[in-house]
Amino acid sequence: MSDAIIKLHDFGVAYDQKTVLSGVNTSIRSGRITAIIGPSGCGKSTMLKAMNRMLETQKDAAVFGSVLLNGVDIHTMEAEQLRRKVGMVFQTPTPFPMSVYKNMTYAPQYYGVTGKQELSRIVRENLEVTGLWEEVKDDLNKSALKLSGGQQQRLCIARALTAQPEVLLLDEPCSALDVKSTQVIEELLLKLKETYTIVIVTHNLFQARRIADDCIFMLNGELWEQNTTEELFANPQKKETRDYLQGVYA
Amino acid sequence: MKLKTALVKLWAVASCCLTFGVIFFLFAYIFAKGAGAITWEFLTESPKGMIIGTEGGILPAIVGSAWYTGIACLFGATLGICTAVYQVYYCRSQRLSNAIALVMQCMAGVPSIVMGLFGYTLLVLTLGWGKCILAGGITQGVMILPFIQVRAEKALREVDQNLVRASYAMGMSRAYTVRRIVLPQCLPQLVSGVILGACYAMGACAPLIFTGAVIIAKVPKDLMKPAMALPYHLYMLLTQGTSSVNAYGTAFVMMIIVLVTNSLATWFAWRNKK
Repeated sequence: MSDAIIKLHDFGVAYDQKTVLSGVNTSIRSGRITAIIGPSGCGKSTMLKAMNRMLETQKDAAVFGSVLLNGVDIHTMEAEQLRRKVGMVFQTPTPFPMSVYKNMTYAPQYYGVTGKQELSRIVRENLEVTGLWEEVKDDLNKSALKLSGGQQQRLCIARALTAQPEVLLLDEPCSALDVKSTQVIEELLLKLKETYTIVIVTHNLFQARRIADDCIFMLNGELWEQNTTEELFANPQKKETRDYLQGVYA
Repeated sequence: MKLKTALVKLWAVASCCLTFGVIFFLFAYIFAKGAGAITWEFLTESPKGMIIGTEGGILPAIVGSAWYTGIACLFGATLGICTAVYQVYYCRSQRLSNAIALVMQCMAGVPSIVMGLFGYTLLVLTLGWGKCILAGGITQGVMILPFIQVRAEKALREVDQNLVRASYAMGMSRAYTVRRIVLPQCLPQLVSGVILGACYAMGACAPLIFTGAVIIAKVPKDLMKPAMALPYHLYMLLTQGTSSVNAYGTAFVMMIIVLVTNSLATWFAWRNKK
């Protein structure tokens, strides 16, 4: 796969000397949505967090093997520099307790953007991409905490985009949302894959099937099977994958 | 079982009543004894009389105390909050963190008169500052440092870590995250911790005896000169038997200041919690 943007080689993670992920070899293709699926505790989120070194913020996490971003080992890069390129959105929406506008200018200001016009442009563009602009354009100074759950999650995605990442990691971004908001986010992700590479951890097999181009099935801390979503769902190679897709583990 | 519950309830209510009763009595007694001394002159003039303190007012002591307390807060809050930030967000070694906590506990346990002796030896003698407002303020600052640090550390640990992680996940540095997310989040607790520290410093006499407080001085204008302080003035008025009326008046003013600043801290914390 020549257009791989992220590659994991013999990758593994241990928490407090207990191995939770081992022997992972995989590639994430650029400009596509890759879904990571698998039963609870199989190491999906751990693998995701390893891709932008967010694991390091957790105590007692040790990683083995290597993760390459555009061919460069991410452990040779500054963590801040890496996370700017590989953004992340969490399971529960995490709007900062400040206005919508300040949430959106939080990262650009850090990266040195100071002009009011330039900031306003960044705010508008990214809110438009996530379809939030029309809903909040008159309330930019309203506290982000007053938005609905779905709006908050879209704000978090828009906020992650203000750092201009190449890859966007999403850790079950819809698990705390209702059906309608989930649908909006899924449509948004399909739109975003034109510009960004997306990796999404999901429990929802239907969601993986609806939006993902590639699918990784994890089991017991190992990468069990990987294929295009269509192929993986239509023709799983391993018994465990088939069982999982049929709901045996669920 | 019912009797047991009733007894526990009675015990709790009685303890509450006793605590409130003691506090109420203390305030009522000081107010009753001291309110008579409070006049405009008492608040705006310097101590006078054949024996200093029998007549006139306590203005230099009020202003002096404000200076001592202000410097103590500046010093104690800066170091206390920075230590807490380091401990919670920068220190990777559990051992070092434990060591800091131990040092803070020891500092909190040092008697204030010993703290005064430390300030006297280091600032007044070794650095050659002499008795002055700066030396007194810094000594008090060292005294309230652990007081502020403990509260700041608790507040910092209570900040929602999901927000902190969300900030890191965008590539923000720790310093930026602390400045933009963490500190604004716990500002109410930090401010109320500093104000409580201020009340503690305002009432402490021992650290000032060797380092800054004097029996009589003009309204202070220079940090490198000694100044009067309310608790020291009160101590002198009582121990020298100068004027018990003015002593109660001074105590009354001190308690009003402490009460007002404490209420401000509570109000500030409450307003920001809403």
